[in-house]
Formats: sequence, C-alpha cells, structure tokens
Amino acid sequence: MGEKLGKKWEIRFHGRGGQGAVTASKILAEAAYLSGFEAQSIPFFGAERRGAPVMAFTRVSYEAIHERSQVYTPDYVIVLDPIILDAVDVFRGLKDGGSIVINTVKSPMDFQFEQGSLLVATVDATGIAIKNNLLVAGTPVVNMPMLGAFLKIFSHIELETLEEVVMKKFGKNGKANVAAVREAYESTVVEKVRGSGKPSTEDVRRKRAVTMPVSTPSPGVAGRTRFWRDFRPEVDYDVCSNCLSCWLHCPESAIQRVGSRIEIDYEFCKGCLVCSAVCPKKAIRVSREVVV
Amino acid sequence: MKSNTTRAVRIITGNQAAALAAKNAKVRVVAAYPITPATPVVEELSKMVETGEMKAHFILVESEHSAMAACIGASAAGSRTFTATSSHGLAYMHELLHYATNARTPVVMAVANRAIGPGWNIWADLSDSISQRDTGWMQFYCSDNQEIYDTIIMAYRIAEHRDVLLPAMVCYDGFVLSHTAMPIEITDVNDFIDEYHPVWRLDFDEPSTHGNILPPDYFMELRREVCEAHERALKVMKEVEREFYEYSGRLTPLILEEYRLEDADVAMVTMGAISSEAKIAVDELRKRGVKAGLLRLKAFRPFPKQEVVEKLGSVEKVYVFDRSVSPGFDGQLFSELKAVLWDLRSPPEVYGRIVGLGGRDVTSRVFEKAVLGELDKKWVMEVIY
Amino acid sequence: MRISALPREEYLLPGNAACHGCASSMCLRTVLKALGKNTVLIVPASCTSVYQGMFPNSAIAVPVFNTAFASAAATASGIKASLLQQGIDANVVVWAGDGGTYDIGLQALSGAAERNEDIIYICYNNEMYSNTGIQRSGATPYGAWTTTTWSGKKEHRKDVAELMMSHEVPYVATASAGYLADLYQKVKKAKKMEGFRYIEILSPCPPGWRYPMEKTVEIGKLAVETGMWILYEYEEGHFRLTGVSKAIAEGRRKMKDIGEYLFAQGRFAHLSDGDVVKIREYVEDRWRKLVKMESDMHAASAKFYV
Ligand SMILES: Cc1ncc(C[n+]2csc(CCOP(=O)(O)OP(=O)(O)O)c2C)c(N)n1
Ligand code: SF4
Ligand code: SF4
Ligand code: SF4
Repeated sequence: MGEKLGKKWEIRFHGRGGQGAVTASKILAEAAYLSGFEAQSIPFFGAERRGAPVMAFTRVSYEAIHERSQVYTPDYVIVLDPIILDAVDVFRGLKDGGSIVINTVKSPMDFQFEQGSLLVATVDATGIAIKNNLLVAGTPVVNMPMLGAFLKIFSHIELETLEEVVMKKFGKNGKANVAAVREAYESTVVEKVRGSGKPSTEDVRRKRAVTMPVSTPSPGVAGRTRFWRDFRPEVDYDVCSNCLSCWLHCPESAIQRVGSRIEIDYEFCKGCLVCSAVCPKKAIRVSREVVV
Repeated sequence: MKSNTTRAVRIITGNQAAALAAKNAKVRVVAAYPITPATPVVEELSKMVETGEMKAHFILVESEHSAMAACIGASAAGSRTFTATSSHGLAYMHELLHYATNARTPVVMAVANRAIGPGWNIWADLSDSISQRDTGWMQFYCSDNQEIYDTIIMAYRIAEHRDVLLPAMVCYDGFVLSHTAMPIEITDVNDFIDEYHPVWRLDFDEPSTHGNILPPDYFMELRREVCEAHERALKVMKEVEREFYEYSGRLTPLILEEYRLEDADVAMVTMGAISSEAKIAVDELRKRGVKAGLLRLKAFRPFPKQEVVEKLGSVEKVYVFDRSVSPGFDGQLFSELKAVLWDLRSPPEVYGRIVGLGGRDVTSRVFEKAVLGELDKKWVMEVIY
Repeated sequence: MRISALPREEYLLPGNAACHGCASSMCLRTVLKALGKNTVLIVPASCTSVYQGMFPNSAIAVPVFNTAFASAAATASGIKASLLQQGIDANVVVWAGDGGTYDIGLQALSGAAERNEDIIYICYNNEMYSNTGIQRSGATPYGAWTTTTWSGKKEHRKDVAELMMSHEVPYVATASAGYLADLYQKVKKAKKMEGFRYIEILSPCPPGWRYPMEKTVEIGKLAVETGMWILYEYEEGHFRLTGVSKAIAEGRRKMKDIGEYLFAQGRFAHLSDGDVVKIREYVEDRWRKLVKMESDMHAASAKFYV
C-alpha cells in the first residue's frame, strides 16, 4: 500500500432535512471501513428541520483520520436534492479537478461553476426512487440511490460492499434499496466539464463585534423557506369565498390579506398544506413543486 | 481624636451594611431568598421596602435560581437590581450566573461567604464564591463592614459603566463580617450614584430579541467581548475608587490594598476578613525584625495581574492564604498568584497555606507562624492563639 | 367571532425555522395578534428558542427575552417588577413548552402563580420535549411513544392547568390549536385582567406525534372532540367548559371515539386494546370530574344567590 500512504478523500453531502443525508454519510463510512479504509461520518450539528438545507460529511482514508473539524475543501460533493442547487452554493470549496454528483434530470454540461474543471455526474435519483417504491409519506427517498451514483465516480469501494451494508441497514426494505443503488449506478452519466476557472476572492467569513446578544426582527431567519417546499398550494380565486380560514391557520404568516383577497407568499410558504386542509371550499389546490 | 458624633456613623453588621448600601444605591428591584448567613439582608430589605423607606419592588421568589432569573429579567427591562445569597444558594444560581454575564445585565449581589455541605456547615469559607470564579462575574472580597457598604455602591458604578456591563458580587465572610457589628459611616450617596440609565434595555418601539441562538460564527465574539470588558473594568475601577474618595473622603480600595509592603522581604497575600488579622501579624513580625508586608486582593475577578506583579516584584518570599480549596489541586488564590508571578524574570518563592475552612477561626498567630517557618504544611488545621 | 376582526399585523415573521405545520408557531402567531405590540415575550429553552432564528436576526417582532429552561416565570416576574417601577404598562407574557412548564419550570411557575404576579403565562403543550428530539415530559399522555418511552409511556400525564386552578389565580384557560379563534378570544380576555393568568394550548407537533403535516388543525380539533383535551375557563373562582367541550357536556354534540384521535397519530400506533381501554377510562374520569366541577359551581352560586 506504499504509494497509497497519505491518500484521503473528503466527501460533502447536501440535502434537506428528512432526506437522509446523515444516514447516507454513515452508510458510506461503513462501506469504506468494510473495504479496508479508515472512515468517519460527521452529521449536521444542530436542530435539523424537515425540508431545511443540511450538510453531512464523510472522510475516507488509508491512514488514521485525525481531523475532527468540518470539511471545507471536499474532493467530492453529493447533492441529494435539486432544490438545494438554488438554496446553497454546493460548489463552494470543492477542489479544482474534484467531482460532484447531482440528483437531477439535467445533464452534466448544464452546470456552471468557478472551478477550472470538475467531473460532473448526474442521475435522476428521484425517478429511480419512485420507480423502486422508496417512498416515505409520499416523498421519494433518494439517499441510497445517490450512493450508488457516487460509486460510479469513486472506485475505491466495490458496489457489492455498499449493497451488503445497505441490505443490512434496511432489513425488509433492503432489496428495493439495493435495486435502486444498482440502477442509479448504472444510469449515472459522468462528464468532465470546464468551469470559469475564476474563483471569487470574496471572503465570506463574517467579522463583527458582538457586545450584546441582541437580534433584530426580520423575515427569513431560516433563509428563503420556499426551498423547504415539496408541495405548492395554489388558490383558485373562482372558488375562494375569502373566508380567511387559511389566513388564520397558516403557521408561517405566509398568507397575506391583500386588499379584499388573500395571497400566498411563495418566498416563504413551506408547503405544509395546512391552508389547503382547513379550506372549507377546497379552493386551495396542491401540486408537487416542479423541479427542473 | 476625631469626632464620632457629627458623622452619620452607625454600629451595624455586614448584612445591614449591605442592605443599606442597596437602598442608598437606588436599587429598584430586589429578588432574594433566605439562606444563613445572608438572611438578614433579605429581611432588612423587605422591611425597608414594606415601610416605604426604600422605593423598590421586592420579589419574594421561591428559590435562588428564580431570584437570579428575576434580577436578570428586571435588569434587562431597565431597573437597577440587587440580591443576596450564600453557599448552597449561590451554587443553585450557577446556571444563571453565567446567564447574567453573557446577557450583559449588571446585577449586583451580596455574598455572605459560607461553606457548602454536606455536612451542613453555615460558617465562613470562600469556596462558594470562588467556585463561581469562571461565571464572568466581577468579584470583590471585603475585610470590614465599611467596605461592604462602599463596595456595593461603587459596584453599581462599575457594573453599569458602558465599557463594562458585567454583573458583580460583593463577598464578605459569613458571620465574621455578616453578623459582626462595627461602626460604619452611612454616607449619603445621592450625588454619587444616579438612577439607573441602562445602556440597553427591552424596547417596545424598537423591538429586539435578546438571547436567541448565537451560532459558532458569533459566540466567540461575545465571549471575547466579555473578557475585554473585564480588562476595561480595571480601569473603570480605578476611576470610581478615586471618585468615591473625593466624594466621601474614604479611600476604599477596589483592586487591592497593601500594608507595609514597600520595603518588605516577605509578603503575605490574602482575601476577605482574614486580611485584617494578617495586618496584626505584619506588625508583630516587624517588631521581631522580619520585614513582612501584606497584599490584600480586593478584586479576584478581574484579576489585577499587572498590579500584583508590580507589588510583589521585589519581595523574596510570598505566602498565600486561601480560605478555600480546589480539591485535586491547591488553594485557588495560590495557584493564580503563581501563574501571575511566572511573568517575572526572577519570581519570588511562593508558598500556599489553606486556612479557616468551614468557619475554623483564623487568628493573626497563624500568619505569624507561617512566615516564621513554624507552619510548614499546606493545611493549617490548628486554631492558634 | 369573525376572522376578519383579527388584526392584520404579523408579529411572527415568515421564514422562521419551525417545522412544516408546527402548531406552536401557528398559535404564537395568533397569540401575538391578540396581545399586540405592547408585549414582551419571555421564552425559556424550547422549540421556540430555535424557530425564532439565529443572531443577528429574529422572527419575532415584539421584544423577546430568552431565558434559562427553568426560569420563565421568575424572569417574567422580574421584568414585570422592573416595568412597574418605571411606570411602563405592558403585557408581560411567558411563552413556554410543557417541559419548561410541567417539569423543570414548575417550581418557578408555582411561585409566580402563588405570588399572583401580574403576568400571562402561556404553555404550548406539545406533550413532550420536542426541541431535544421528542422525549417524554410530565405532560406526555399514557401510551405515547417518545425517544425515552420506546414502548409507550407507562404513566398518565399530570395536569398543570388544574394545578393552577388550585393556586386560585384569577384566570386559567385551556385552548387548542384546533380552535384558533377561541384561543384568540381567551388571550384577549386574559389581557384585560390583572394578576396571574395561565393559558395552556394543546399544540400538536407533526414530527413528534407522527402525523402528516397538514393535519395539525384536524388533530387539534379531534383531541377536543374525543374528550382527550377539554376546553374550559376558570375565572375569578368560576369554572366553566367552553366551545366544543361545552357543547358535548350539554349534549349538543356527540363525543367522538378516542380511537379516532389516537390512531391518527403514529406515536399511538402500537397501542394494545388494553391500552386504549386504559386511556378511555382516564379520559372519562377526567371528563366526569370537570363536568361535575362545573355543575357544583352552578349549584354553589345558585345557593349563594337565593
Ligand atoms: C437546564 C437545562 N436542561 C436541559 C436543557 C435542554 N433542553 C432544551 S429545550 C428542552 C426541552 C424543551 O421541551 P418543552 O419545554 O416541552 O418545549 P418544546 O421543545 O417541546 O417546544 C430541553 C430538555 C436545557 N436547555 N437546560
Ligand atoms: S402551505 Fe399554506 S399554510 Fe403552509 S406555509 Fe404555505 S401558505 Fe402557509
Ligand atoms: S380558506 Fe379557502 S375559501 Fe377561505 S380564504 Fe382561504 S382559500 Fe379562500
Ligand atoms: S418539533 Fe414540533 S413543536 Fe418543535 S418546531 Fe417542529 S413542529 Fe413545532
């Protein structure tokens, strides 16, 4: 293993709360360990909210891993959810020449970034999850197929090893997950893509004095919470009787009374669908949030 | 001989002095819970509030935890607040002591120092407040009742100063000071301390949220700010000490007090009531030809590093007396003093003695014998008279 | 009352960090509408300390003071005393979870109630510690799954609203996220009164109770319709059932079967028939007790007036 000494890979997962990014990072670490590597899985530190952007990390190495800090300059990035692409900069810190796997129906060439070049892999993991019936409360669970897709560009772990870990972890759902892993592995499209090669030099670290722990009221403390939305409520004004029930019950203050009618604030609506559930006229239609 | 009739002198206990200081310092909200030996402060204040002698609101809370929570809330809402406690009561407040610091609420508290059980021990011991050392509170240790009165009043000026904004505890040995009566001058401080003008408070016109989540991006900034406030406090303390001297004619030290230290070969370092006994020992030792001196630390937090180094820079030996101990290590003052003297090119020899825990009496003979090399063990168990 | 009568002003700002369909945030929004801008909110450690957001921003547009988990009622007492001293008249309102109310904060709550502090204490009861990830509390009902009661809680809940009545404070009311207009009116009423006022809101939590996010209001209603949660007011010594609970007591509405409520939630999915019987008995006992309390109250006042 002489030439391998010092070899180490850092992988960053992007997902949304409830999508299993943390589970994926753990399963990857287990598969790496079974393959003879040292491995580490770091979860998101904090209160994870369903639908809110989260990160998780995995380190894989030939040698003991002494890092206890987070991953800032990953070799690989795995994006579980296309919505994340609008909410956070998934390319941040990714090493030039590194790789990224994205759950999307787009093709690798559709992505732009500041690195000189990256290996970009794309896979329709959502479609694969639906096809294999990997659904929790109607929502497709893509974390395992995304690991399958990842192995397409990460050759140090055998697909069979990953499948073994997945099988063990998921019990009676193991088969469906393994099938999805394999299908994702096979359908992943990989391409070397050139980027602008002009990294912005802006220092994003905040510097300020904090004398008092005092905060100012402002909307969007949790960011643009529209990215948490899987379902989109839409008012049919022809049916709406303006009874205001939805306005009263929206937990998010995301329904406003504008003039004599109500309007949904799609910047912050999380898509909880309480409004639709309480509407006596069934005037709020629900559709899956469209993702391109 | 000075005239004792013209001045506003009363013979009162340390606890009474504390209560009167709170009243005269225009405290507007008190929340406190009884515990020996601080109980009389609570009783005294409630009486003064009830009779209208003190214009304040007294919240008769159900615990010390709530006492401190109420003080923090009242302070944040814009009032000058006060509480008093001791021992188990102080330990029970621990969570909120940290809270008051980061909240930047300048609460002032009297602490009648007492041991913590079991077994139940109500007597003098600084372990209760010393073990709150890292909560970010300023800590002052008094050695007589006049000092208790003066220090509480000055503590508000320091704590509320816009460069400081830190809570402060004014500590004094249980019973030894809390229950012992001495003549003290109840100076009218009306022109020395104004009504409270908070730097920040809850505001209904410009609402803000105090104390929500402070993530890793910001938390360290707040903590550094707290530490810098402690450093700035030393400067403010010097100003306030001077101003109070000009106002009252009394030089009540806030940082440290020295006694015959200028030409001393041997220095004793103490805090609290035992410092007074140590002065007797200095005189005794000098009579016997030992050039002894005393450095009494009034402020334990902020620790006056610079000043201590200056004062002890030229002595040969230092004896530190702790009325508290950190099990697994040494007396805390001893440890900290050594850390500070490490900066000197040729530091003096430093010895530590643990004395007077749980109310064991400490007489001047203890200091004398220690300096004369007749007490060579860390623990001074005997009462020597 | 007409919904349109509620103020348009929003004091809980959109884009906060509460989960989808969170009843706590839903109720806080209504409560703040009832209280208005002249209000300071005291929040102990809880989900609310998280969903109000991170420094330097906050999702709440009235003054908020966050305090230690056990200290809400005491901190509020201090704030009220301070405002009184300065001649400032404002609503001093605690917004605490059931952990901060039933368990760790109970001592401070009882103390403040006994002193009849001039504050409004509102407990949003989601029947567990949500913020730390769904652990049992003293308010968790028998049988409920939590991460510290894996096979279901073995004890019935305690009842702090009843405890507050035994403190004989001026006002105690229960409410539910299923009936926001009722909640609004109760807060409005409390606001006009003086002394210690306690309002407890049953506050369903989709991730903790394991039901689909859009069903928050429905679950809040079912709790009342099945008698699991009883709406009432206790005002200056007078107790009366309100809203749907009153309608059920007067025979104007039929009480629904408890199973409709229990099995709409994943946290009760494992209950055995025996468990359901046990819960039904508990609910019936409590129901009888409160109905009797109301009729005794009528009898007593009737006697008094003849
Ligand atoms: C003294 C102390 N112990 C424990 C905690 C951890 N803690 C924070 S919030 C919480 C539970 C809060 O539960 P509840 O009051 O029901 O509010 P919810 O989270 O359900 O909104 C716990 C245990 C703490 N902050 N302080
Ligand atoms: S789905 Fe409806 S109730 Fe939920 S946040 Fe959006 S607008 Fe509000
Ligand atoms: S609840 Fe339905 S009918 Fe009523 S205002 Fe909303 S959309 Fe219109
Ligand atoms: S865990 Fe429950 S109470 Fe907490 S924010 Fe989420 S839904 Fe609300």
